[in-house]
Amino acid sequence: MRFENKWFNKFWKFSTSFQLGIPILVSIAILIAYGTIVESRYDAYAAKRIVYESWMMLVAMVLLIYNLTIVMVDRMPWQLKHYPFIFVHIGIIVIILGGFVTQKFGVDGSMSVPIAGKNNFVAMPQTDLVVYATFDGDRYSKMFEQEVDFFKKKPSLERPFRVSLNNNTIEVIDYVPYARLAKKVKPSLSSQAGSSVRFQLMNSNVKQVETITQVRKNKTNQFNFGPAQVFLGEVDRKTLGKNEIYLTPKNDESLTYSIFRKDQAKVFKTGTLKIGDVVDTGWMGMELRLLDYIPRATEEWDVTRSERPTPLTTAAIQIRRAGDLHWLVLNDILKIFGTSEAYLITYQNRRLDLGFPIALKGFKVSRYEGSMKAMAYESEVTVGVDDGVGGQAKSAVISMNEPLKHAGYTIYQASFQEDEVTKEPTASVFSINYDPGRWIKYFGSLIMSIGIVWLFYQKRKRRTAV
Amino acid sequence: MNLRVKSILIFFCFLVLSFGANAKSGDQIRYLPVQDSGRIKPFDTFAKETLEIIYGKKSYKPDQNAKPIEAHWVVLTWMLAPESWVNRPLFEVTYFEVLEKLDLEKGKKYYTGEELFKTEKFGNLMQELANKKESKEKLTPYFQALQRLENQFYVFREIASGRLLAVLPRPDATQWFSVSELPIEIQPYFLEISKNVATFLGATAEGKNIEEAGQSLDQAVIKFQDAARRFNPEKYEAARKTKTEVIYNKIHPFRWAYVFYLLAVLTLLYIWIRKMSGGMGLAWTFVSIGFLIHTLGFGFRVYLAERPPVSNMYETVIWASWGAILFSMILEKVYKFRILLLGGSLVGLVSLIVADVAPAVLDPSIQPLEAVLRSNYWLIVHVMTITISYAAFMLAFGLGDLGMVYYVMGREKHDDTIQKLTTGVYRSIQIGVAFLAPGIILGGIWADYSWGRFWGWDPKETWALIVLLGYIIVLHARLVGWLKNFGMLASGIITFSLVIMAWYGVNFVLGAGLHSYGFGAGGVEYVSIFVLLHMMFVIYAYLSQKSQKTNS
Repeated sequence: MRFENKWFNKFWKFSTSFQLGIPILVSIAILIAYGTIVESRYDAYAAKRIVYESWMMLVAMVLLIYNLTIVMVDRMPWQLKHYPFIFVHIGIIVIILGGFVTQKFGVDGSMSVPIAGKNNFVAMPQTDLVVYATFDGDRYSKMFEQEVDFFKKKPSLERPFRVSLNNNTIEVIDYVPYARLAKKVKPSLSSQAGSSVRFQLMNSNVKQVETITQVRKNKTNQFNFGPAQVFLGEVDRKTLGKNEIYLTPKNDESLTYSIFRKDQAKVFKTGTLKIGDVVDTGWMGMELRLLDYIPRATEEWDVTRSERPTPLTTAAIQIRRAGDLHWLVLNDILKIFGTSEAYLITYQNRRLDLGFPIALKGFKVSRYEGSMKAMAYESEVTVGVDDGVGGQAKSAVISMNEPLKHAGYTIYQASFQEDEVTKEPTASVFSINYDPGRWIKYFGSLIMSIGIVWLFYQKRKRRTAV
Repeated sequence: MNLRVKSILIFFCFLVLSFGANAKSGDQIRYLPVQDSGRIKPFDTFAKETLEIIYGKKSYKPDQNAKPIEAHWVVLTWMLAPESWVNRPLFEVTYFEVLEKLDLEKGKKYYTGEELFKTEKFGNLMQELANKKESKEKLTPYFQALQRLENQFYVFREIASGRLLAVLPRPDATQWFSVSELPIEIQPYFLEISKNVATFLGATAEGKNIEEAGQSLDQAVIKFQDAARRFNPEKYEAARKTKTEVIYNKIHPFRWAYVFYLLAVLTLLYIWIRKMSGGMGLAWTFVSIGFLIHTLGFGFRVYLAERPPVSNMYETVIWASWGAILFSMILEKVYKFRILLLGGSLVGLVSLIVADVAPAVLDPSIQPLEAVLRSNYWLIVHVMTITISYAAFMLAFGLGDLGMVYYVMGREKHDDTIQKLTTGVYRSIQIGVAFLAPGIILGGIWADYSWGRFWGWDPKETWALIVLLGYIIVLHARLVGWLKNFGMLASGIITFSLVIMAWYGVNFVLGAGLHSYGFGAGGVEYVSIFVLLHMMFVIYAYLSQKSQKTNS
């Protein structure tokens, strides 16, 4: 094609030339190669956020579509010899557009369903920060909810993410994408905080150190040693059959202990306990030594930064309120006490209600003979409920490579969770997917493939081969 | 092909087959069915794989000049007389840092169990490995080396105790009885085998006539098998393929295939150097025999594994080299350039040798499939389509290399050959693209079916796309005349680095993504050197042809 305007003509020629086309292809190749390196160093999520869904990728794709289109328009009016290449170019454009549709309107999340349990929420990759507040300790009201993308927009001390609540501010001052976690107990100033004890149980065979922390004041918590149980809180002996010790906070220095034997309802031994004291429990020579006692304590996450993700790391943010710092782990709840009010803060993956539950009736792992290598996973599920107005529960078996289609969603067997000790499966993990771009992509692929095969058979006037 | 050539062909195939099928006395033990890592295999395979874990080779050489001892005898004596092995250098340890930490003399390749495992240092290293595993981080090469050491220790100990060799189906569970768990009524049969092994090996050591001892041993093995079959006829039926597998092990078809490819290469080179007009018949015969044996070996694996063998690096190398030969034969038939067949045979030869000499990196053992790969039509189709496209690119690479050689030898003088090679490279790349693009789409269909998305930027699929983009750039650049002959030949070599990255690099270097069932380790330094050398060769050829231009 030629145009009157000299400059436009030059621009048109450039757009149709390989001077534009080849640099675009080269930069796409380099960009996505970089994406695979990011994935190798970090994980698929990082690669997606940093590279594949970045503005650079968008620009490259738009330019590619532009170039492919202009090249076709330039050849107009088309003759038969043009059709193979037009097929290929249109196919590619359609596939890319299908990809945009999927990215924009599709759902790609995961759902974990415990065996004999059910779930109707899909965990999505987006994250939300939600704050609830209470003034009477019972009723909570939602004060704030917003989608946050700390991975891309990392909050810092200099540039915190601020949440304003009436006359209070909560700030997010740090984000750790790959955090290794440990529980830590520290003293608290809040009057509502519970107590915490660290103690050692020992005899000639056993020596064990444990910590018990109350979630809040006067809320009993316990540690189970099997035949013996240690409680932190008021004495509340319901049944016989177990040896029990109750440690009841008395004042800021000491606790009252009450020891029960498994076959007696009345208390066997009682007294006061300070840090460093030892009590003989009378069960198989077992002694209890109080190592630490914090009358008002909170349990907090202790976060260690990891450079790269491992199956044990998770994302965490640091929150500052009234000079106090707290860690909040992804999909966990943080409780902060003010003078007269308390806040619940969650940082979580968005949960999308499917509109129907998936109930897991059974889960089977079959293994190759005589080995632990899994041969197949199989979930026996029911989707939906009989609601009496047309809705019907449907039973199905979902296995690897055999997904279930229901209400527009496709439910795939992704993996399973197992008990760390027994290795028995405890929950099935599904990948839940809704892809409105699927058929666009398939259609584009078909057109492109036809074009490529056609191109291969096409005899050229200009002999490129020889 | 004329009749004489055909009869030569048939004769050779017969020769190879009969070579494998012939059985020596004392060989029966090799056929004994064993349950190991999820499938039933002959003791022969089990022993070879086990020896490879510990010793790194399929047969044991007591010292430089000694005759190698076959794997099955080695593993049997580990079990029957472990104490005789404790002071032999049997365990292959090559990782420098591990040797350093164990305070061992470097420069040796093999160490005794006494040296390795009896010290406190070994315990410390194993603790270090356990801690690392606890953290669930990726294992670095150092920890992979520790992992291997742990495997060596474990395998040797379990073999010695008789717990690893499972020889009798259990009626109530899928796990077979190991030698140490055999029921009372079966024990005497195995004891008989042990006794006969001892007698046989004794006779061998003393240089006596082993024929009789061998036959007696064979009888003992057959009696054990009969007893096992009576014990659980149904499950023992699963062992019927062990005989074929031993034949496959003995023939070693891919080794024969490359021997014939080598003969073909030599013949073709001779024809080229002497500028002969005839002789192509012989070259075709050698390539065809090699190809036939190659196909035969492939058939064996399909029969034994009950699936198309394209599930790991080794199998795809075998498959792609098969494809490269096939494409070169087709192109040669069409163009009759001779040089195309030479390129194909060279590529087939080199890749089969690589597959044969690096079992630690390219694992030739037949393994059961991962759950996600089972019973899937699309899986097989997409892997085979994509790897066959790699075969075409491999051919383009080989032809490109030949082209560079001719440029160095003088572009004027060899203008005709260079032109032919360029055609070959161009056509090969076209074939490759015509397979790769649909292959990627088939992969998308499989991913959609199995993982729930058509395209997810998984490194394996992304790199396949990068390969496609690379070759499309080459084809387009040729189309508009940016690439002349030299550029085309050089592209055949340079662009192949992308294939190496997609094929090998993603699994062995990046090690990320959903295709994790194909991941492995090792060989990175060799592959990098290979790629670098070729780049340097291209640069050298470029400079050389440039100086030729200015001189003329």
